[in-house]
Amino acid sequence: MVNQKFTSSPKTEKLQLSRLQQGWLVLALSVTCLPIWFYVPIWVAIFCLVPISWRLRVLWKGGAQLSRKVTAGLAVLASAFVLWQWYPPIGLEPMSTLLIICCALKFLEMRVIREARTVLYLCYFIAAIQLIYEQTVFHFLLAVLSIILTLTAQNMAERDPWQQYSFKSFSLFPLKSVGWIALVSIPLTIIIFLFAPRVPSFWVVPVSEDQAVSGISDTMSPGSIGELARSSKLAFRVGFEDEVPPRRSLYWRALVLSDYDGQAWTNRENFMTIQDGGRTHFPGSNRPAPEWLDEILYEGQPLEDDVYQEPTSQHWLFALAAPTSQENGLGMTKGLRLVSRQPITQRVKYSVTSYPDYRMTGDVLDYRDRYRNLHLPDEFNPRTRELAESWASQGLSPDQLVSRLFSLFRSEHTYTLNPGAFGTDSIDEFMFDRTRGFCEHFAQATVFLLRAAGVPARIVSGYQGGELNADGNYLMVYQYDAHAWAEYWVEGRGWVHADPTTAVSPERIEMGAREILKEDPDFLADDVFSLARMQDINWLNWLRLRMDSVNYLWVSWILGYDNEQQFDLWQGLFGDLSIKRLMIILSVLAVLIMGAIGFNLWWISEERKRPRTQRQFDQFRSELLKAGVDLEPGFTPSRLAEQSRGQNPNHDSRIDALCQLFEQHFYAGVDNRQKINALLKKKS
Amino acid sequence: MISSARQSFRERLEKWLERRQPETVREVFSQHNLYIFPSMQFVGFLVVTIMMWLAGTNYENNLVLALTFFMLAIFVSTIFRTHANLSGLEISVTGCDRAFAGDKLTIHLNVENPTKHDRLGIVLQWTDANPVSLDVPAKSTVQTEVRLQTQRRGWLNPGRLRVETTYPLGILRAWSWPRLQLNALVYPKPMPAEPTAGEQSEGGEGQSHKRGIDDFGGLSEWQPGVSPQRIAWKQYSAGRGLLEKTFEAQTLNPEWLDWENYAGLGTEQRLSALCAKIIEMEELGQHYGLRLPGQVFPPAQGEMHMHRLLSALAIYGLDENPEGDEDG
Repeated sequence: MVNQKFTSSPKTEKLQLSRLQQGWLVLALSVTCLPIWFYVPIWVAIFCLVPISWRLRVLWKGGAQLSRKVTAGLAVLASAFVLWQWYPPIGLEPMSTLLIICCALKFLEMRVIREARTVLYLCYFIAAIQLIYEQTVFHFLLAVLSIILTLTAQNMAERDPWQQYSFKSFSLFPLKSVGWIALVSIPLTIIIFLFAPRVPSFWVVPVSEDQAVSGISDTMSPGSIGELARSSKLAFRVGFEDEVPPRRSLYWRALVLSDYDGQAWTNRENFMTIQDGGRTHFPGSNRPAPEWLDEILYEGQPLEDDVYQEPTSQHWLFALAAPTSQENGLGMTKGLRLVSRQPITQRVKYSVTSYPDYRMTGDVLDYRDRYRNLHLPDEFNPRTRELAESWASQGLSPDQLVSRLFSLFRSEHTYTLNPGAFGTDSIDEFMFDRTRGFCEHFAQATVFLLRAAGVPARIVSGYQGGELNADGNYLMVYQYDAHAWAEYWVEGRGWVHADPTTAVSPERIEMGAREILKEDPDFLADDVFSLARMQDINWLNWLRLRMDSVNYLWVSWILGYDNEQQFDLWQGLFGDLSIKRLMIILSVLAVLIMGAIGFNLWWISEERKRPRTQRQFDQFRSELLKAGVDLEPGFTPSRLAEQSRGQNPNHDSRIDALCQLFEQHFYAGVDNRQKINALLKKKS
Repeated sequence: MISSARQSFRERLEKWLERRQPETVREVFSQHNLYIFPSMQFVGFLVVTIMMWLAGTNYENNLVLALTFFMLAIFVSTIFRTHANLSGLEISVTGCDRAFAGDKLTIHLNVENPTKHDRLGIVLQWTDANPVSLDVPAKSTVQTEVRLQTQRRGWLNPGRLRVETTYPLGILRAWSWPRLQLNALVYPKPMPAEPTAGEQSEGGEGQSHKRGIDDFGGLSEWQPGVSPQRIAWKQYSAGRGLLEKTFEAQTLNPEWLDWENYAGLGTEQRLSALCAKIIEMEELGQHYGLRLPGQVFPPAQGEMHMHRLLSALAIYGLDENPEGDEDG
């Protein structure tokens, strides 16, 4: 079949876009920008939808395009809006907002293929940026889909735009050809992902810290932990190297609240880390180790775990007592916590080695700590203060004070999620009037009473327990597992753990918050349809656990893949890695890859498909050429012999015979391949 | 300095290309004569990939890094796809039109795709000419033409044809530089001019014998370029050699266009004037002959005659001659 086709073409770059090309662009752009609209202000979405719908209208119905002046005006307006919303415009949100607006405006004004490419390149970047906000399997697949659609739109831009495509001729063919490229790229992507070295961050990433994320806060007022019991959101997951420790020892420390103003308890350790660096030790940094580090004896059997934390926008991390970590950018504080230099704005993974049997030398509490952990504002809670003073006057030791208080709680108090609102003397009210409270009320009362009796004490907040997912030997810790407990100072022993909740409601610690609270109307009140509410329906629970273990695999294998795991993989594959060995492996890999490419080229080459005799003849011909014979393409074998006879000093009967055989083969259809082979082998 | 360096680079490149892709009537593209390199668009692609990598590294986000690596892998597979889009295609010249200097000359090309896959976005371009873009479906041949701007008379040598593709993604360009054998002859630009001498020959009763097709006049020595109908085959078979039958024209006065008539003009002006005259005579339906220094074309009439004469003008004084014969 012969097609007749005449095209005279101006330069490709200046070509108008066809409708089909624009259609694919609209599709790519819409899918790419879909997820990010949830993270930018609503006006951005409106701002972007207007150009897109205008363009669609032009596409569908025809009509004039907007003049460039209008687009320029819109750009100025958008920049003003961005400045109004974020000043200074640093950080992820203003950046992604600007990107989307650029993309939408460029889309509005684009006329030729070159401008369309700008939109496409912005699309690739937006597809990647949205993964900084969310890292679920779903979002990742969506990003891959966006990239494939954008590639398709780019592929369409390479097609002949002079063909009058219409929507009727829409086909999925371009998607197929791009899909093929994408499919072939997957193995290489995996190899690069596994072996490409990871580089640490180049500069401090600006992030907005006021992002509202539910979770424990560094200021605790009565009822703030109870609020969290309304939520079944995941706080973090923990994978263990070995057996999961019993639930009663799982106290995930996040904050140490020492400062008390009569109403709220505050953690100031974070601010002090930044100012003097004294209370936080970053193992990787070149500062000398602080003195307090010597007071903590990291002893006994270490417990290793990997924490996969959901974003909190905060600096604190979650770890069992006496945590240490060698991760870059992670520090240990004097309050036996782990903190991160960077706020946790996206899901992170960190490895922790905890020493549950740690000891403290406990000889000195420096004057500043002593003051902060004894300080009570004078005017509040006179009745509790009176009780404490009377107990202290009996000469009780701190341990005796605690056990007496706990037996008081056991006999007279009730553990409940929602004890109602308290007045200014909240601790008095809780101790003597209502006698009902949640963990933070008990912890606050304990610390208050101990301080009033002259014992330094502080509140520790974090999470307690967690749900075991046997599939993956890991724990899921939810917001409703939030907890607060107390610590008091004993000369010679250091800070001693005391959880008043164990006294009033030991089941909370043994069985977990969910088991105790599930009948409470306020429990998970914010997540009416949460699967966590329906754990008693067996198959639903089974489904929930399976889904979470898939997520856990995703989180631990893809999101948590780091230099350490890369090194483990190398070691697992190639044993101990010496430079020499590395070079050998790399050369073998290079040779294999080049070989594969070469084979592929040979396999698809036309050369391979030509008959062998033809190739032999060509080679024979080129040998004659080298010998100085003047040959034209298309000479027959007999003409070849003739020419060689005249010009080749080495001409012999073999050449004549070969030419004759070739002539017979090509023109008379004689099958004399064996003779030709034999004669070719016999080198004269 | 720079231009001479560039010149020497060009020469060496041409030498190297000559070894790999000598002149041919038909070029089959394979890894031996295909070249591939990132295109200008790749810069944008690279910038985006680097920005993605920076974002992934700075936010320590493995998924963004995975997408970055995906982009890299796409680039690598596109190398193969782009290369494969040209590999296996065959290109050949099917014919060249004639043109007057300064006009456009059309070259007819065949692009054949014997493979099982469609080849899209193939662009053919000779140095300055407008590119031609075409799609070649699987197992088919596409005829196309390239129009080249001509500058001066003689054999047209536009250099190497550039066959390229950036399909499927535009970030890579695969190309080849076949040197296709052309028989493209450019006639002089027709520019009428008053004869400066030999006015009297116009009258027709003069010194030169007139030859026409009407009445047989006798036999004369055969000269190249004479129509076979005029060869005296009887005499040839009798072994008297090639002779030409000449005819006395009585009713028609054959026109003699003589190089010497334009004495005083430069070579090119003379050729242009003769060219214009030939066209004029042909349009009038006249019989006309041509005398060039060392060449005589007896009078005749018809399109073939005209082309023969114009060709003689086109190559007058030029010694380079392409192999093969012109075939009008």
